[in-house]
Amino acid sequence: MTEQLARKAEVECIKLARKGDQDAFTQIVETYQNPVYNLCYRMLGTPQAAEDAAQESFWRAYKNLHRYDMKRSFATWLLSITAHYCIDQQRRKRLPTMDLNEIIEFTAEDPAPNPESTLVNLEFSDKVQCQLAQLSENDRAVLILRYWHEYSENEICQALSISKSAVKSRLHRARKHMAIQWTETQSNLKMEGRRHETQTI
Amino acid sequence: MKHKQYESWILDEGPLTDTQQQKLDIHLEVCENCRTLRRSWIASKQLITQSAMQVPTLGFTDRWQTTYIRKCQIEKVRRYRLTSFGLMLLAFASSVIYMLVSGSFMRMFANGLTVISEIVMGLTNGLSTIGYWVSRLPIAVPITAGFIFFGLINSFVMVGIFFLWNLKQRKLLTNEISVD
Repeated sequence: MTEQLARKAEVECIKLARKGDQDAFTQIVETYQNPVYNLCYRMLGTPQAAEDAAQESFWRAYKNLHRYDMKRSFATWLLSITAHYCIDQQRRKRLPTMDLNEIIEFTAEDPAPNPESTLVNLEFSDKVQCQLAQLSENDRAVLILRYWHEYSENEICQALSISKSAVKSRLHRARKHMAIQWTETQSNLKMEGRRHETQTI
Repeated sequence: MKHKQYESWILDEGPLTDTQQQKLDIHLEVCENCRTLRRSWIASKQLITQSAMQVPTLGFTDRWQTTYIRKCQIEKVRRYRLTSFGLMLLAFASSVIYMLVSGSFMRMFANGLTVISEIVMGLTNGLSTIGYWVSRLPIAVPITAGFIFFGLINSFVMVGIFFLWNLKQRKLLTNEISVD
């Protein structure tokens, strides 16, 4: 029931925004800023690039609002625009690969009150980001939509305009890559540990 | 069964039948590679699920409004430029079409050639008139003396220029010394 109401309000907002009501579209931006930003951040890897890409995605959505089919999910449509934009950006400027062991200090603001949990989250986030950076932009987009946005395979098909078999094969490739990355990191960490032990002795 | 099949069962997260699950368990007991793959994927997935959703810094909506205004302005300028360029192109194309259709293009080309040739003729006539009047002037001094006089004037001018240049150089040097 609540979802239906939210959907109704969203449709109203879209209708108003189509007529040129800027406040209505700002409300849409307010609602979807987090998923759009998260997708951009996971795709591009830096807060600044993510911010720019998110703003650009909203602008593209605003410009193409008349093309949006009301029967489809707005979130999927919006994330589709975002994913395509991020993939294009990646193709133009390849993401520099990072070593998993050299985790870069991250300074983004996090509203979580507990500093310990914040640190843990940042560590996880950085590790994942390093692993994601090793993937190709297409595989990365599929993986992000599947695990961060909890999209089904069909929804990913719609968002990225690809076939279901393509989604499956990309997901398989991405998972395998992530698993291999994990194994390599673990073995590297073990080797580092042994080296430190030898030095101490 | 192919080794790739087990890899697919491990990674594709599809529901397995009891028989498939049994086969996978038996395989995992003997295959180190598949065991590592499974362990690593579980760990990786855990890492993904534990990493938080990234959120933008505060004031994203305000920044969006600024972006909106800026983008609208850019769009306006772009539209204005495109319209101007389109109108110019249209005017040029229609004038060319008109000239070609009405046959006035060839006439314009002929007129252009006539104007150019008239200008060239006018210049030639003017120069010959000047030459005629110069040749009619009385000779006040012999030609040899005139050449010598001309040479002397040139020499004085050259010396004067050299003197001024030298003076400027010296001034510069003096400034440099005073600075030091």
